[in-house]
Amino acid sequence: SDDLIWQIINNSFCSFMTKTKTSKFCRNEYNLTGLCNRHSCPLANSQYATVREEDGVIYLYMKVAERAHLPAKMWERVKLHRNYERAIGQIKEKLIYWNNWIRRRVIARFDRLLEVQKRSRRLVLTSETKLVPLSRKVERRERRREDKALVRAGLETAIEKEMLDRLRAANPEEFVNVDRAAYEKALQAVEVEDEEDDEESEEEEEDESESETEYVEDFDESEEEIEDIQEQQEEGEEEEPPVRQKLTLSSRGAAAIAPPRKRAKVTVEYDSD
Amino acid sequence: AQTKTMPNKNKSAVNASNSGPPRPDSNDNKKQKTNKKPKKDDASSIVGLKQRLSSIRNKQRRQAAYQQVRQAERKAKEAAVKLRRRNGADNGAAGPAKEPHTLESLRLPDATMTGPAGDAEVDAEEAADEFADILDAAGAGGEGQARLPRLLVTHADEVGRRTAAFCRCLARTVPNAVFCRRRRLPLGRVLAAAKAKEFTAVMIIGEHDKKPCTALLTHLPAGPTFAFRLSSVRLPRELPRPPEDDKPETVAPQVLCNRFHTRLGRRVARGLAAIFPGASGVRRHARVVTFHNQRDYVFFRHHRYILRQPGSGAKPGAKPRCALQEVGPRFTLKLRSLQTGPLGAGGGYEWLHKRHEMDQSRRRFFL
Repeated sequence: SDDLIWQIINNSFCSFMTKTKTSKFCRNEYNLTGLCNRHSCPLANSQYATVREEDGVIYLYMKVAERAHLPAKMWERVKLHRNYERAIGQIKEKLIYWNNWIRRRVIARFDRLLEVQKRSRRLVLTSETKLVPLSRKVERRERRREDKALVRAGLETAIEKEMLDRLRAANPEEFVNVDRAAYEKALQAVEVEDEEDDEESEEEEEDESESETEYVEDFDESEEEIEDIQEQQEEGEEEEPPVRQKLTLSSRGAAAIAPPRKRAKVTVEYDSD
Repeated sequence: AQTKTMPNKNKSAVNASNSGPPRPDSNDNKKQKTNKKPKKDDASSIVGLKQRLSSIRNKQRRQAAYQQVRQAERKAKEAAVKLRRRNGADNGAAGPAKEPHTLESLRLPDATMTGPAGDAEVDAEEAADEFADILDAAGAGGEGQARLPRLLVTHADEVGRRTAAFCRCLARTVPNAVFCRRRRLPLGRVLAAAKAKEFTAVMIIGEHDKKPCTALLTHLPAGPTFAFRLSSVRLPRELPRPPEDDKPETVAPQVLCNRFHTRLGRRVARGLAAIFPGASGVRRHARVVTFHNQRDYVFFRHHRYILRQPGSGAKPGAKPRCALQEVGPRFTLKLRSLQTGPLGAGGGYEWLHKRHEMDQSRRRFFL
């Protein structure tokens, strides 16, 4: 009867059989080797055994001719022991007097399944990236809200305001509103010294050693924006600035940074209080 | 022939919608109520009126009735606005000028928000938290030795060019920071190496679709772990006015943390600021790094600033200004979770963003 089954499914049609160019595979889940062979076919052998893993537990499945007429109870399942030696002992005990080929193949398959289990558990431990699904709607929503928040933030204004507050707190004397016209008048009485152009140094250590606060006139106030910061700091200006007058006040404790000094320098010395 | 005139019931409704004041209709006593102009200042009565109108079953009549109410409301509002504009902002008759509603003004008050006066309890907690030795010691008049922060920037495995460029840029922006390629090292080894080399913080940038999308910031040795969603990353060369030079900066930047109101917000602000050494004083021109929180989005900006005093040619009312040049990268952070302890220590979550629980109101913010 086994031979009959084999003749039929081998020659005409077997739904579990898959052919490639070189070999024939059997997709039946109870197949011991995975190949489509006379020995390996679970349908064409009334006495057959396999090992399979179900949810991390490895079982020994056995099928005998006595139950061939009871398809629902055909496969007997034995849970194999977690201890390797005892599991092998179980297999050998259950398959005693069975076909040698089947016994060896079952043990080989059992070893392979254990290896697979070990490898997949190690992989889970070492893999650190967890794939997290992104919800498109949520991403879109967050993006939109971020854009609106950005508009609301008014960053440049906020930063400028906060920095001015800090600077005011650190150097309050600088923020006194000085009547420039009055200063200039007073300065006309004083000698004007010529001074060569200084290059602005980027290193702050030099600037820190001076304990002077210097007021220097600026060129254009708000139009001249940021492109000129670097030029101002590094090179001299090429345009002709108005005659720049410099007041030197000595004061305590102000971190002074010398803006570029040009042309005329007027020095008025005040005593520190 | 079939008459095509409209049935009696709807005639009055049609007339009412076309002409001005509606004619009283005997069938519908609800409609009579709409003949009176609703009171201008009694908003609740209008609401109640609308609720009563909602029980008119006939759609045309109902809509017409609503239309009248709306028209009356609109007229009242226009009149009030006109009055207010004519008489200035403090016109008592029409009510004071109202600030437009914004999410910031309508924000649900949070129990943990610290007021402008400060909070002694919060200050005491902050004096004892993981960042105190970096942030607060520097400001203590130079008594204590501030711990100098040292940041290690790295990224997830197998990351694209842009993410690596961003990491490098971050390492250049933050003083005393180092960028290291990840090279498939397990995180445990990265953290162990960081601890051995005395880094105070590790920042790991994650990627999605070849763009940086997450930032994980851990403070060592005992610090909390912040997980952020990273977005809107712009490298310096992609800024609207890219800075021409690439000079390495020698001075520690000023760090601004704007608009962090709640306890959680303050903790996040301190956690971010603790990457930077405490600046010893405010210079007239230097760098400023800003973490600005708006509606739970933390915007990072990096500028060079210079204080500009108005010159003699300036207008009499001219004020000193602080000119800014944007230099460094730009990005936006959104807090996803905050865990106590360093990464890998399995610390409990101090805060975890749970969308379904926490995002139910548009007016609720956590930072």
